[in-house]
Amino acid sequence: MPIKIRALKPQEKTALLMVLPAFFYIFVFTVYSYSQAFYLAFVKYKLVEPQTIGKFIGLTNFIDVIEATYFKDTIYETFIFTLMCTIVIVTLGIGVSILLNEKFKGVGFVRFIILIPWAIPPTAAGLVWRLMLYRSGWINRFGMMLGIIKEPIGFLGAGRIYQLVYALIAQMWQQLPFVSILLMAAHQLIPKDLLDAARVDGASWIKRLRHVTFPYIRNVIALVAIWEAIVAFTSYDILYTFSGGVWGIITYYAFAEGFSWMNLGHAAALSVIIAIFILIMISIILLIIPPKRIYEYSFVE
Amino acid sequence: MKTQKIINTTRMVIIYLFSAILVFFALFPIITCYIGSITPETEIRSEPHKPIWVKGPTFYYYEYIFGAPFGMQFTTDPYLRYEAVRALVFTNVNYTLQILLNSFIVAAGVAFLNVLIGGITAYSFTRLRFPGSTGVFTFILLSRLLPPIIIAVPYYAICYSLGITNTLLSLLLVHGVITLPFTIWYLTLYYRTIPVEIEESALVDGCSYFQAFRKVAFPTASSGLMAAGLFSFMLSYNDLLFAQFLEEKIEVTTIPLFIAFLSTQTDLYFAIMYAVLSLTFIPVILMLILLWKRLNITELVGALKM
Repeated sequence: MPIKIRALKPQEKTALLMVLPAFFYIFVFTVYSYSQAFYLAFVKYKLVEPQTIGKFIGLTNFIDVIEATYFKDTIYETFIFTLMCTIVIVTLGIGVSILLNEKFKGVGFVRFIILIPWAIPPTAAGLVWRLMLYRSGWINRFGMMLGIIKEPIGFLGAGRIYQLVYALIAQMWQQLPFVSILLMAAHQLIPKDLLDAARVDGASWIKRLRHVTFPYIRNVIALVAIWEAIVAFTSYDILYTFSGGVWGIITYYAFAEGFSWMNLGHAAALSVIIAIFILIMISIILLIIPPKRIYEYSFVE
Repeated sequence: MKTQKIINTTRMVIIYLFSAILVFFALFPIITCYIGSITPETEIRSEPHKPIWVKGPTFYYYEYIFGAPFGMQFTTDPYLRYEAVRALVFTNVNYTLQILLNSFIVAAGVAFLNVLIGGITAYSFTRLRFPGSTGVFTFILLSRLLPPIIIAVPYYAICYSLGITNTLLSLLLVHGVITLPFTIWYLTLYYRTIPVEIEESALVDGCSYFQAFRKVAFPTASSGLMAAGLFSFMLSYNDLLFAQFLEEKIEVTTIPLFIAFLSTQTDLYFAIMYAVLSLTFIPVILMLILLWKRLNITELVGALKM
């Protein structure tokens, strides 16, 4: 296919000039950083051994990281956490979006209130939930006040998988509003007359949900699910404060390798591994929505 | 008719029941922070057979946070009934106000950067096209999806060689990159909702394309720009990752970093943590209220109609 080169019209020239600052800004940071991260993954970069920095060592960093004691467990935990978060948050999000699409007095107030946790820093969310779950924390206090539990429960002394489930509550508290609002917006895509027709025909609530609502919001659900999976997979802030900086999932180790154990090569290798997983998820997003459609829709028709 | 009424009533009962559960779930953790911040430490640490409400509320911990930077002396907690094992000296708490201010400066800078650059870029994507804009637009959007941890290592190397670690500037620049894609996407959608006729008449009157943007479109879009600014403010205010490796000194710490730091202190007063958390919530909730007035759900619908 021959590439046609022609002079830009004045309008196009202005358009190009207006995009350039942002483009360069983002390009320099992302493309340079990503390629640099990719490069660092293949060289020795231990800050404590400055004389060997920059030596090409092939896949040694990757092998070191994969053979590290924490790797197998953290991959397992990361996947468990991602899966749990995605399923729980999206399912509950669908429920909440259905609820908040109903018309009732005070719906605006409820919509506003549920957004508050989303605005709060994830670090704060993690710490708040840890303080809630303490032996002398508010959940035990509340439970005992109501007489639901007799003895305070030591939530934070339980095993790692339990901890991940409790961390999931914090993650959910933070992420549920966003998911619900997006799905709520998706509900507006359903033609009103279609729902009314189904109602007149005597379709039950479940049937309407199954055959009218669901087909329309299916794509949005898939997108939100992948987005939540990405967020959970790279979750750092919430888990950091929830665990008191002691454990986390894969991102925690990528950070710890680089900035606590001073081995930037290992950190870069872990980042590349994370990026591969994320790229797979992004390609799924692009399969659902081709980029051209995102762009075209953003135009004045 | 009667069955219809019963159905309606049950429907309402269910709706209000679930709404109440939601509101409780969303607000309870926040309220506990405010309760905790005015409860004497001994009450918080005690085994939880005590009721949830505050016994002997005190503003001592707030006094400590606000008073310490101004040289007020607090050495022991008057509410400790037993001999104080831990003195209430945790000097970094003195910096709480400074840290809030740091966070505010960075977030406001990021918001300004976003409104300025994002506003210009989104306008170009919406109204004027150039060959290849699809590619650039997609690139900008997708750049946000890759996890920020990947930028961390190389960015630290850059800042280190430039000698701008431990400054707020390095944080501001990187927050700008991670917030811009979202701003551009949002504003691209927003400009679409503004009628194009006014700009066209400006062009007919002899304005250049850029002048039409600067004098007509930019001021008209102020509400959307405001929303984008608030969004990026919150994103920047909430970020921990970049602050954690860029800022090592307490003077340039931001709020999420400070909270992360508090969470690793095992022997710190809970009441102090609660007080810091309570102070943290205030700006974001204010921002959310401002944002809520401008956030239009039907705009979001447009984004999803694909």
